[in-house]
Parts: sequence; structure tokens; C-alpha cells
Amino acid sequence: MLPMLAAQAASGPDAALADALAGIVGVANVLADFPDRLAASRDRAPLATFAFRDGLVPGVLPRAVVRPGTHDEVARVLAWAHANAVPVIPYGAGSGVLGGAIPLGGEIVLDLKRLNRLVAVNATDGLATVEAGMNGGRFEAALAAQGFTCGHLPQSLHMSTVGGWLACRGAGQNSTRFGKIEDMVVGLRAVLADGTNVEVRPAARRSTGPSLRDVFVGCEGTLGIITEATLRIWTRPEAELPLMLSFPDIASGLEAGRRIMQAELRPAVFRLYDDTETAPRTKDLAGFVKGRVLAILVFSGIERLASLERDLAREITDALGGREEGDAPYRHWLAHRFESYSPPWQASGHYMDTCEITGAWSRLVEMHGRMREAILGLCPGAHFGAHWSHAYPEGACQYMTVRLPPMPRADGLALHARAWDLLQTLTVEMGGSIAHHHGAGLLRGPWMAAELGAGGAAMLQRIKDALDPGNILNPGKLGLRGRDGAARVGGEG
Amino acid sequence: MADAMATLRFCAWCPNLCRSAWPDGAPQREASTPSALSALTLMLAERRVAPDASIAAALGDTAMAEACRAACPYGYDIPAAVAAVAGAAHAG
Ligand SMILES: Cc1cc2nc3c(=O)[nH]c(=O)nc-3n(C[C@H](O)[C@H](O)[C@H](O)COP(=O)(O)OP(=O)(O)OC[C@H]3O[C@@H](n4cnc5c(N)ncnc54)[C@H](O)[C@@H]3O)c2cc1C
Ligand code: SF4
Repeated sequence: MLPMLAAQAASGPDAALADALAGIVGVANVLADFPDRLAASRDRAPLATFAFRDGLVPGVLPRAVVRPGTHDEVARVLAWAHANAVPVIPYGAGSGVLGGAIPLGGEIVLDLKRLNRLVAVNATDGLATVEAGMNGGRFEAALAAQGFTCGHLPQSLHMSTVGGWLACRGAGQNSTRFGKIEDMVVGLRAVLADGTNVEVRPAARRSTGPSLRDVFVGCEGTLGIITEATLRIWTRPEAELPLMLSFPDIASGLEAGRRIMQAELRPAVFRLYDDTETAPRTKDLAGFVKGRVLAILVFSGIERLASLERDLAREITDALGGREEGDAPYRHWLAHRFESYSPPWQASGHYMDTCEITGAWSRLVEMHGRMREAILGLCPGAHFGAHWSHAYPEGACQYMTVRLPPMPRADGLALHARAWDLLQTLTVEMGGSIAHHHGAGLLRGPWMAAELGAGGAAMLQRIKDALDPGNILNPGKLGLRGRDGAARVGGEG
Repeated sequence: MADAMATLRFCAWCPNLCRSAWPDGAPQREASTPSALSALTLMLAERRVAPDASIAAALGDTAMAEACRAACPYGYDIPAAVAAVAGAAHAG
């Protein structure tokens, strides 16, 4: 990793490149000054934060930040980049946490936030068409003004773009009812590496071969750049009815989740916290019995239906030792659901990261136990906390927070890398998926072959090679082949 | 000054959760987000980057941080913190 001072000294302008791109997007939309390049050299991967706080560039500086304003300009930039072998990283709001937007060598960053229009709302068909660079919070507010919700409400709602949601196959906090983003995308427009336009016309369902939509949803900019999406939208719920519970232990809480989902009840929110994450949320809650674990469920929609679903869920949870609790933790969660918990820890030198995986109901208790044991065995002073927050009939997402205490940088990075390896290796060993909704980016690359299998990983590489023979689209991400001389992120050097 | 540094140190690692306060029609410059301004100011104060015209111009572009101020759930005033710390760094 390069010290910022050295990167700054070497950051002379590339006039030929800037001129060529200005010819497409206009001079004002090619930003090649050091501050612009520095800002675009990181996303919110904690590893990038660890570098930044030590005055290091996580990978390299991009050659320039380019801001196209239309789909056509995106296509023209890509055609130019393809012809000139210049790698390109699409960039939404940079809230990705796996290093997917980090430049590794010679890239331009294509900042998509000028593509920020809500194009159309079709109330009859329940669809909204939106440009990829629109801010999530502004999109949801624009829908709310017309009586709708997208149903995709990630914690990062206000700090991410719609295109970033699709690119990373994200999940919102209400996903248990509305699904992940891949369940909401009905159509899209995208551009391939050579500037070819692709449109997946919105249709409720089709039977015309493999889904082209899914080439783009989850591709993290490696197979194409999404410029517009048509998403399913919903009438805003008439009621949102919370059910605050505690359970004797996580096994009974998870069993309740399984039974609720398999009974075809659809809470908008299902959140179960382990004992570590329960403690701070219940410390002021009158009558809360220490040792029990907290769950927040919310049923939403038509009031009578939501109320009935809540009653039916109550029958299930009662049978498993569930106990109703005061709603203070729910109100606290509502008030802070779109905030970030990490800045104070990163500011004080901790090595904090999160890892979200998918596990089957039959394995989650074991996953939690073995992963906690592995992390605390690695570093007895570490914090390990987990919750389960996106539930399905087959299993749920286990979202873990690992926080290592301040220590010398080399030790912190080594332990951080080891912690990731333990969590991801154990996930595969126990039959889960290494990523539920943050994507793979750069940092999950080492475990992608284990996730996909050798045949699957080779197939993904072949698709990449066919669509992007020059390897210009976000090279080196998703475990795909990088370009020669690419920077390493993580270890020193 | 210590307070301003602490503010910047928090904001630099905050993922711009106030950014949706910036209007759609206005140009979005990643380097002008509150978090990017805070990080750059911090780097300047810690002498991890050298002062130059482009940094001075970037730190002077506080329109977005100003627009996002009311949306900061922590109540930070980033333009003020940037001015206090960057001013001292330039003077020093
Ligand atoms: C505090 C915090 C909370 C978070 N909570 C959640 C959460 O609840 N749920 C969740 O799913 N995620 C969450 N995330 C992760 C992150 O916000 C999501 O991955 C988000 O979808 C990224 O959007 P973005 O616009 O910031 O994308 P970026 O970070 O800019 O980009 C992410 C990746 O997608 C690519 N990309 C971006 N736009 C496009 C496009 N239009 N076409 C093709 N590729 C593109 C980039 O090259 C990069 O590889 C959280 C992050 C933070 C920091
Ligand atoms: S101003 Fe507040 S919300 Fe915005 S980035 Fe800084 S700390 Fe975060």
C-alpha cells in the first residue's frame, strides 16, 4: 500500500485521457485532481478504513473520476475504454463494504450519481423505473410522496444508490416480507464492456432461456454497468405491528423463526439477537430476565391481515418459551435503523468488521457457536456479536460483528485476515453461503472458488472472458482474474 | 481544536449517512461529501498529504457538507471543523 504523500507526489494529470473523456461527458465531469482521486480510492470496506486512518491508499488512486449524465454517455465511455484498454470501475455512493470499488491499477472511476432521476411510476402495474445513480433515501422518499414503498430499506438506505443495491444483490431490513433486491428487479438497462446496450424489458415473468437480468444483478460491475432499473413497488402499509419478544436461548428463537417462515407467515422484520447483542439493547428494559435473547418482529400491510399474522406468530412463539417484552428496543431500532455503528470504533483504532453469511435452519445454532468460539480463540479480547435478520423458509442470514482491540497495524491486519478466513471457511464447511447481501467485492475473492465450486468458478470466469475479453470492467473483483501488476490490498506490499 | 479533530476523526469513517440531504439536481462530487472533506482535512493536519492548490480548493467546497449538516444524526458541523483544522494546518 502506498503512503498518501507518495501517491500525491506521483499524481500528475493525464491530459490525453482527460481530454478524450471530456469529449464525451464534458470538461466539468472529468475530475482528475488529487482530492477527487483520493476520495474515489476507497469504499467503506473496513480494510480501506484501516489504510486511510494510517495515511495509506488502500489500492491505488484512479486515473480520473468521470461523471456521465445519461445511459448513452455510459455506453460511449465504455466503448472508448474498451478501444483504449482502460479499466473502469462503476461507482455509486461507495458504501460497499467488500472493496468492490477500490482501484487496483490504471482504472478510471465511473461515478454514476448524475443518473439520478425517478423515470416513471406505473401505479397500475406496481412498478417504478429509476436511474441507477439515484440515492436510495431520495428514491424511497419520492415513492412515499406517491403513496408507495420499494420495500428495500437497507441500513445504508441514505448512503447508497439503487444501482449499488442491484450490483451487490443487497437486502433491506424488510426483506423477510419483500425479498432481497433480486426479488424486486423486474427489468433493467445495462451496458457491456464494449459499449453494447442491453435491455431486459420489464415483464412479470418469462420463459426465454436463462435470466439475462441475473448476469447483471450481483455482478458488482464486472460484467456490465447497470444504468436503470424497473423495480416492483408496493402501496405503503396501512399498519406496522411490532411484536417484541425474548426467548430462553437462541435455539428456541431460531426455531420460532423457522416455524413462522414455514407456516407462510411473512413478518416484514425478523431480528433475533444473540446474548452479546441482546445485552446493550435490554439493559434498561424493566423486567428483562438476564440470559434471555431479544427478538423484534414486525407485521405490516393491511391492518386486519397483519394483526392476524401477529396472532398466529404469537401462538408459535408462546409454545417455544417466547415472552412479550416492552417495546423500547423496537423504538430505539426504528430511530437508528439507518445509522452506522462503526465510526467511533474505527476512530479509536479498533479493527471492526462485519460478516454476513447464509445458513440453513438446521445449522445456525452450530454455526454461531463454532464461529464465536473460533473468533474468541483467535483473540480473547475480541468482541463477537451476532443477529439473524433476513429469514426464509430454508434458513436465515447470520450477521456477525467482529471487533478486535487496538494493536500495532501489522498484528491487527493479520488477525483481521485470520478472522475472515475462519468465518468464511467454517461457513462453507457447514453448507452455508459466504455472503448473504454485502457481495464479494475484492475481499471475498479468496473464498469464491469454495463457494461456487471449481466448475462454477471456472464458468463465471468464462462468462467474464466472453463478455469482457479485455478485462476492463472492475477487474480482479468477485474472485475473477485481475490485470497484470494489480495492487494488493490487505497485507503490506 | 481538539474537539474539531475528534469530530473529523469520527466523520472521516462515517459512510456519509447524511448525503441524501443533497438535492438531486446539484452535481455530486465525492470529494465534497462531509466524510471525504473530513478525511482530507485529517490527512492534512497529520501531514499525510502536502498542502497544494487542489486541496485548498477541495476544502473550500463545503456546499454539500453545509447542505447535509441538518441531516447529521450526531449533530456535527463539518464545515466549521474543516475550517478550524485546515486553517490551523495551513497557518502552521
Ligand atoms: C453502515 C452500512 C450499512 C449497510 N447496510 C446494508 C444493508 O442493510 N443491506 C445491504 O444490502 N447492504 C448494506 N451495506 C452495504 C452497501 O451499502 C450496499 O452494498 C450498497 O448496495 C452499495 O451501494 P453503493 O451505491 O454505495 O455502491 P458502491 O459501493 O458504489 O459499489 C458497490 C459495488 O457495485 C458496483 N456498482 C455500483 N453501481 C453499479 C452499477 N450501477 N452497475 C454495476 N455495478 C455497480 C461497484 O463497482 C462496486 O463493485 C451497508 C454498508 C454500510 C457502510
Ligand atoms: S456529517 Fe455526520 S452523518 Fe454526515 S458523514 Fe459526517 S458524521 Fe456522518
